[in-house]
Amino acid sequence: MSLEKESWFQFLNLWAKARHEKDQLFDWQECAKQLEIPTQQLREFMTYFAQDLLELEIRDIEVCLGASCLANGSLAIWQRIEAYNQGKIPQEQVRLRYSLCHGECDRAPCIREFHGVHTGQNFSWMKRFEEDSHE
Amino acid sequence: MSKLADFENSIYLPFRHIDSAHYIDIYMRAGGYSTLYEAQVGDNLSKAKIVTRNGQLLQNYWSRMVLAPTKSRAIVANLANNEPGMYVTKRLVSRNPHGLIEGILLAARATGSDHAVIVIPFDDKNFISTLERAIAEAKEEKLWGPEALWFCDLYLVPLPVSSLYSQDDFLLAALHGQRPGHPNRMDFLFGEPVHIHRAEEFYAFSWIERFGADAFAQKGTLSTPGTYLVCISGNVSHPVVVEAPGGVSLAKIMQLSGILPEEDKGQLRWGGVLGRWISWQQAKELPFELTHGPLKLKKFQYPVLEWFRDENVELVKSQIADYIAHESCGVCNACAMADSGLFKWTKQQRHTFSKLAKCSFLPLALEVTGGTLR
Repeated sequence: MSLEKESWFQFLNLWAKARHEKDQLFDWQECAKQLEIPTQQLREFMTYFAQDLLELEIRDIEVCLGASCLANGSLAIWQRIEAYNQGKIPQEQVRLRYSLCHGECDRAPCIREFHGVHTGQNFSWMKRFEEDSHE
Repeated sequence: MSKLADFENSIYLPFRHIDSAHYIDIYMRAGGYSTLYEAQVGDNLSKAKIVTRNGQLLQNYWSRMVLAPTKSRAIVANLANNEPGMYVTKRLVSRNPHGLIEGILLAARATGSDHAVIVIPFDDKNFISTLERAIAEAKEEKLWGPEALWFCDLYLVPLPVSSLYSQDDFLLAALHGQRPGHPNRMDFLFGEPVHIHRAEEFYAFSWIERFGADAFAQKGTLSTPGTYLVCISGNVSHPVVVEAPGGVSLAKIMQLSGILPEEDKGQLRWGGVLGRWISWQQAKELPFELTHGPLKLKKFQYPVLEWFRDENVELVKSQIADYIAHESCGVCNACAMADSGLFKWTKQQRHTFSKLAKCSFLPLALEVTGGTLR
């Protein structure tokens, strides 16, 4: 067993743990240095996945536009949220993002918010936006 | 009195009616891990005729390299594939993580592997913690690690999900710390020959080891022995996972999700995003055969059945173009040009670019989209 393999797997576990715990102090360069992993190679790896690893913030909504979700009305949800955004000043608008699958296709459509995942045909969570827009 | 696992009726999830079978004490009491202690462990598995990824038989896959018995090997369980529609992996592993570990340990002993790597989705916190707990429990029970009676090290490796991991060299590149498009020597992980499997296959391994390769083969046909998990989703009223034996008709499988054989309209997509479209009228007559015919699985294809109403088909097809642009690594010239906005390709261009691509992703994408990529 080479040290390289051990240290790379260890780095991935540390990185994942820091993300799950939202550890702002995690310094990947320092961590890589300690584990003797070349930072240039690591940067290339991390930037490749940068888009996929964007974290959701409080006003972010990620709508799944995968095939099953599209067929079960996720596009209509996207349009309803866009309509809500039109009546709001930029600071109060939600930031819409799309994804291609959350792995919940049997419960489609699937929408991810900062606080959790909404699935299925119960759209009661959307009332929040509609009530907001009447104020 | 504790219940025993229902091996009679389910190959992949025999523990489904037992409460808390995701804990090792309950799992072992119901009959789990018992085959690992047998004298001739791995014998049944090495004779098994199960169709693995890409339509290859297990025997052929494991014997593709001529290796000295003393040569160290590795087993990889790939759970980080991002394939829309394959929700079965998450459900199966969350409900029965020990089934996966048992299958991995059996495969490791059958092939003489010293290391096993479970690749999991980087961002799925619950998934990671379930598997971490299960692996720690298995180590405590001396099923692997320094105190086990056999040698096998288990690693849990979180990787950012990518559909490109369907190609072995891309997955192995990521396991070496390189981006998926980086050219890597296929079939080797840190110099060790490697066998890569999807999670579901390991669940079948424990059943095969328990009841024999012939008992498994008898459940299907000669060309598709055994049963396989098929995910059904799309415009169906009951999205389900079906354990389908080889040779059964697609109409019978789809009936379980609410699509009746009398239905004439609609389109079926078999194989996932880069799978193929078949009209439902034609598809319902097809037998479930994984080694030949229209349902043979290639790279980047999975046992996924999606049925769509005619009015949704165009919408879903346009989504494929987005998917391809998003997932392609863009390293080889063909994919890079496709992403940068080539609109309609002539037959000649299509032929040229599919030859240029160094992986099967683009040629398959061209086949699916008919040469029109955005």
